[in-house]
Amino acid sequence: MKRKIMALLMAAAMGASMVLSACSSGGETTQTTTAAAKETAAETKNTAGESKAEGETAGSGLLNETGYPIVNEPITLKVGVKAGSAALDGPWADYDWIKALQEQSGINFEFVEYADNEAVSLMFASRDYPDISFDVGNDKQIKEAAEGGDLYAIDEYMEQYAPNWYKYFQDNPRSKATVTSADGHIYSLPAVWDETKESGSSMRDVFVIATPWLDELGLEIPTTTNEFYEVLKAFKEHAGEGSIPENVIPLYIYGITNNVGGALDLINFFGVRVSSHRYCVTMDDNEKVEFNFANEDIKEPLKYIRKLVEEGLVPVECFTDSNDEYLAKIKSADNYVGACFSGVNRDDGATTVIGVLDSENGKKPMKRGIEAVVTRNRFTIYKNCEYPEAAVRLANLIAEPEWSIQGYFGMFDGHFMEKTSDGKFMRLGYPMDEQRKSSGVVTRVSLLCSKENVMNNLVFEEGSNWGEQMKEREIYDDYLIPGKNCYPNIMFSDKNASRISELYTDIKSCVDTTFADWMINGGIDEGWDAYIAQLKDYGLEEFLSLLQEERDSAMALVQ
Amino acid sequence: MRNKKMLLRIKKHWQLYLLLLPAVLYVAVFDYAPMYGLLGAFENFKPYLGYLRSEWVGFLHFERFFSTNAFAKIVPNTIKLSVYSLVAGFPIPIILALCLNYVPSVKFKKLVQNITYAPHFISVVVLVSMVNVFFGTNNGLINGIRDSLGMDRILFIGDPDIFRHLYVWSGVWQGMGWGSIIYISALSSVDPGLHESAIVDGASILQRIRYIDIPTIVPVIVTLLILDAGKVMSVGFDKVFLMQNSLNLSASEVIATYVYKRGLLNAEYGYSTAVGLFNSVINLILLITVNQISKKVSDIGIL
Repeated sequence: MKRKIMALLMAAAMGASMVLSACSSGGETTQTTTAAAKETAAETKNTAGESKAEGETAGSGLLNETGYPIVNEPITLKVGVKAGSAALDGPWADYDWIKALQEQSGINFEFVEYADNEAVSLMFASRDYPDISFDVGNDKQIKEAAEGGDLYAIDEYMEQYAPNWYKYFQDNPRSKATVTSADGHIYSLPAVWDETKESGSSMRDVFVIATPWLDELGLEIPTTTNEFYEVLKAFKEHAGEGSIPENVIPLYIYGITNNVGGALDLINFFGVRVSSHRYCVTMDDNEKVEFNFANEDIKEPLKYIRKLVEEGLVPVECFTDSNDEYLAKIKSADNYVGACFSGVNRDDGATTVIGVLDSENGKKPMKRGIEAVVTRNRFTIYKNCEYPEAAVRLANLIAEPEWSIQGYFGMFDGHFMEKTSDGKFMRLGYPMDEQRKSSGVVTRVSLLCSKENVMNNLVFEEGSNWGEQMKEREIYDDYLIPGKNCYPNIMFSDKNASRISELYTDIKSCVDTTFADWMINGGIDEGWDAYIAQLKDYGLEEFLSLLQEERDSAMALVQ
Repeated sequence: MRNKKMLLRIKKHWQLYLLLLPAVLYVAVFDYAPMYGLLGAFENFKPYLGYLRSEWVGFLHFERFFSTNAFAKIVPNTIKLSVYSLVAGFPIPIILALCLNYVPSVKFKKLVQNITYAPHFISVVVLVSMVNVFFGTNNGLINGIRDSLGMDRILFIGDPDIFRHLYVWSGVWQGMGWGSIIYISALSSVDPGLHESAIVDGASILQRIRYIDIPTIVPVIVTLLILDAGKVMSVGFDKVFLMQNSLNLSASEVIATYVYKRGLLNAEYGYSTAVGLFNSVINLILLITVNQISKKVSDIGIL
């Protein structure tokens, strides 16, 4: 009897753990099951492709070639989107912008929300597409869907139905290169946000310092790295006095190589050109790809940061914190961070944007720049769509100046935005934390905020928080790393893409772990040679030559 | 002849087979049917071509995995982490179950049981946040105590040597109560007559554990051990990934996190399938080996 109970128990335990172990490897298996049904789906797809011509005529009967609404009787498109977090963004259908867009275009949206990247993967693997999608799919997924003949080549419709995009790409060949796939077609439209200066690049983070503390201590705003060091020391020494709290963090950096909040700007101040925006590489003046994380010149700024860490001016958990912790610290109402790099300055007067610091090593300080932001894969039309012309016209409508800017900053309702009498778009001084509410679609839809289209007409309400923010940033203009020194945002060819990502994973983690270790334990000079040898071992040379090759061929494509 | 017997048996005990059917179906549909997706490990898989028409690349993905620089680091990391988890985590539920078995007060026993298995229901994200709150450098509880005692603050979260201890012991804390349930139920099947006569013979508690309880639950222990040995290569992804940072990466980069960074973020289905297959094969070999050893030594096995 006992034996029997035991046997049953064992069987139960065994079964349970087998099921569990099967579940834990679920990722691929789900894809597999759906792919099973896919063979048949492919057949239907093919026939659908052949009958495309009929579909087109059926669609164009409804289409108004110009003017609005786009279609002469309402149609419904299934729109694939990534689900936003409800608390932050709210459901897609609730945005005023989306509602107004449906009204003007005469096209109703039926949103298909994908909970996460896995859901998106599954959609592509099973080829169960919506009609159009915003911000769904990465380069590889879009490319493979295009290879499979599942996407409309938008460029073929562009001249006739999307003149805004057609003109933009004509005028901006570099942007065209970033969205054109290897076969010369454009399968997905990007979101464009171009606030570049004359140098061809725009700002990344601002450098902020707690000016009330400086005032209390009777200190000037630092202009050199040495003065900055003295200021940080003063913050620490006077912890607990005046408005400087006991637990003060004199300088908070979010790791070294993080694009947002990291210490890259601090390295730039020493005249070393680094960026982590595109594969951690930059371009030198001879159009050669360079990797300054392996340049001896970076030792000086690293030693400087190490000194700050060693003396407790930068807390060690900077190197272990998560993004949430970084944001919580720099945005905390208790203001215990003395200086940091941040995407936006706070609007409560606790900090002020300050300029670059001179390292006094004879080199001109730099500040990270980024090229016009062209974010791919924001508007894709799938072969399911019976009305490709209408969809392209919808993309064109979104790219109209008014629609693009309202998608970014909020509607022309007198609270978020206003249209001035001379036809400019004025951003009003609404509180910063309302930003998400006003502009939930930002960067997730193919908004065309290029210079000619939008940015040249954008003004800020006099004296408003947003206007001040823009003005503050001007102190960096002379120091920005120019656009030609940024690695372009391009799609990699099939043969190199996975090799590049493979090499990059190793190289990036080598840089991150080594730098973090140096910051905590020191030993930069002693460890330098081993670090370089390790990078070589990880294939740094191959990595750079592949990036060079990809860059050259992408540039050749547009010239 | 045998088949006929089998059919007869099924006919005779059809209710039992009916009970078994859902489980068999489940395994067939969700565990066996998807297995042809393993083909992806040998292909340059493209969704629009499917498994049958995607380009066949043989062992390319495996070669890529074995030749990566990180291979020499992530495989030992994975094994160290899971073997440590197994060695530390396996005996503790057994000891807990044996202790609870001798608690005379039923109320107290239930209370302890509830308290010890409550952490099982905490999600990994919360657990990792708790670890961070307790062991943080400047604001952490432990370092606060150390500081007020005049000791140095320690960078627990960023130290690769400490990472494994944090990972394993937080796991033990979370899992021991839940893990002990099966042993407690096994212990309840011990014939009370044995204990009574042992008491009459003057056996101490330790002797009763040694000669009555443990021999009874040995089959359960061995079974679970064999199953756990079959999971050595698959360290759970979530918790490691959440606890990872650039300082402890040298200890915390395991196969699952590496494949995530390399393969899944870039939608490299073939590559991730190949690594998954590699893991499963090693696990299977381990499982069979441990099972064979156990059969030889104790005559208990699951296969």
